Amino acid sequence: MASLAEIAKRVAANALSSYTGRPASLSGAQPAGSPSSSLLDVARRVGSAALASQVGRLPGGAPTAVSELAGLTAPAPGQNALAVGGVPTLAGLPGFSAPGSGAAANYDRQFTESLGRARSGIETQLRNALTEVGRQEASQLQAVGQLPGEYARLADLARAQVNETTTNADAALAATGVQGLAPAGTGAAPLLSAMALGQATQQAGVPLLDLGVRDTAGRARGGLEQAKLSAFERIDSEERQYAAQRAAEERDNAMRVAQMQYEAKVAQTRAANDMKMAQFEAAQRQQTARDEAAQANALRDQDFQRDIFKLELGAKLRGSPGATSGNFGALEVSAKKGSAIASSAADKYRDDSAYRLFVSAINQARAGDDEVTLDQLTAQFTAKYPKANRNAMSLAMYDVLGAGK
Amino acid sequence: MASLLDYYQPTGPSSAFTQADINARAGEQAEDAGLSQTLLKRQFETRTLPDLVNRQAGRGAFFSSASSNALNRAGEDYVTESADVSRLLQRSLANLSRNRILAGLGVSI
Repeated sequence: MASLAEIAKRVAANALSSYTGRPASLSGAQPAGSPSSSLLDVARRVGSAALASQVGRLPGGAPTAVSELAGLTAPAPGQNALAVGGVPTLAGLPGFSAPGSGAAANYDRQFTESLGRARSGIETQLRNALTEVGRQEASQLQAVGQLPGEYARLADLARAQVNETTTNADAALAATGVQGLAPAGTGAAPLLSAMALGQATQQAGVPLLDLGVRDTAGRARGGLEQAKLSAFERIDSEERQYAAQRAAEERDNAMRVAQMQYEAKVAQTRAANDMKMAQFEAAQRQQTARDEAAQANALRDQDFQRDIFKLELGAKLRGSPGATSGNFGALEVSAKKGSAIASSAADKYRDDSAYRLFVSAINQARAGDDEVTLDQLTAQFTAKYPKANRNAMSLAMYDVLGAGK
Repeated sequence: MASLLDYYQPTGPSSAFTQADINARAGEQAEDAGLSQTLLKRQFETRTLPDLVNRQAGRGAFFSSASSNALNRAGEDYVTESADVSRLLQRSLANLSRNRILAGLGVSI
């Protein structure tokens, strides 16, 4: 006959296999002789299996991370959780030149160099132009200096021509042989004095020409200097415009950075909230699984207590000589309540006459010499007392035989 | 790229043209003056004087004071016209010399 511990093991194994869907082996799961605690232990294992099925992990495995439950990728140690999601960096934006970046600095340098080239080019042009002005001035002054000599040469030439003409005229007149002609060399005398006056007038204009040359060269120099200033002013203006434009770009960039930081912060907050929500839901799921497991444990415990009660009754009955079967109503209540009901029922049935009669019949049968089974005795008693209460008879059998008498 | 030429331009035509023109005009003036004086000289010596002498001789007054006066006036006219050509040539050449300088300064004559 199977021992009570072995029966309890079998019951628990059946319960476990009904949960896990596969045959369970409980060999060595609990020491023999402590069936009650062993069954609770088995029930705890069953509850753990139920909990594990809720969270998708087998018992004994590594603890499940909340982030895995929430479907998140765990960040590396020391890494911002949001960086895993790929918060875009400024350098990755199309067409964006961060302040101080290589492209912007290169552009600034090129612009500054071009301005420097423009300035130096204008300086060179001015230097060349001033040299040319100086050369022209010297040339003009030299020409002005030569003017008096030129005037004198032309005047001498003209006087020589006049004298030659006068000589020719005098010779031609003398050749006619006419007497009383004017003295030779007097024909052009008034004209020569007039020409001398004209030459003096021409000479008087030379100093004014000299002044004019110097004045014109000075104006040219002033104009060149003014042109240089205007060109430099234009370059400076371009530089100021460029600086203002760069400053505006920097402001735009700063605004974009601030905007992105704000959006990243919003995304961080949202992600943190999602993480908290996921953690909360995961904790809720775990709590629900724990509650269900505890409930299942309690139910298993009740079932086991009830089974134990029935098994103990049956074992006591079967352990008595001649006992082959028992008749017990199903106890659908808890072990404690069932026990109370049972004791109450026992008290009630002990007062029944059938109880007393059946006890005496059993005692007589045990005292007699004839071998009679419990079934035969029951049949005889039932035939003699057809209306005898069966529960009272069962209680009588339990009291007489279950006590080991 | 800014250039000084964007801000400074000498006014007037290039002085080289003016210089060439002045040189040409000087040559032309001298040529015209020489031609005029040659014509005046030929006119006086080969036409005016012979015509005047022949006319006075034909009238029988060759040695009269009227004849010498007429010859003197003809001689003065010749000398005056010829000397005026020389004087105008001298003035023109002097003006051209001055204009050459003014043209170099960019002054339009």
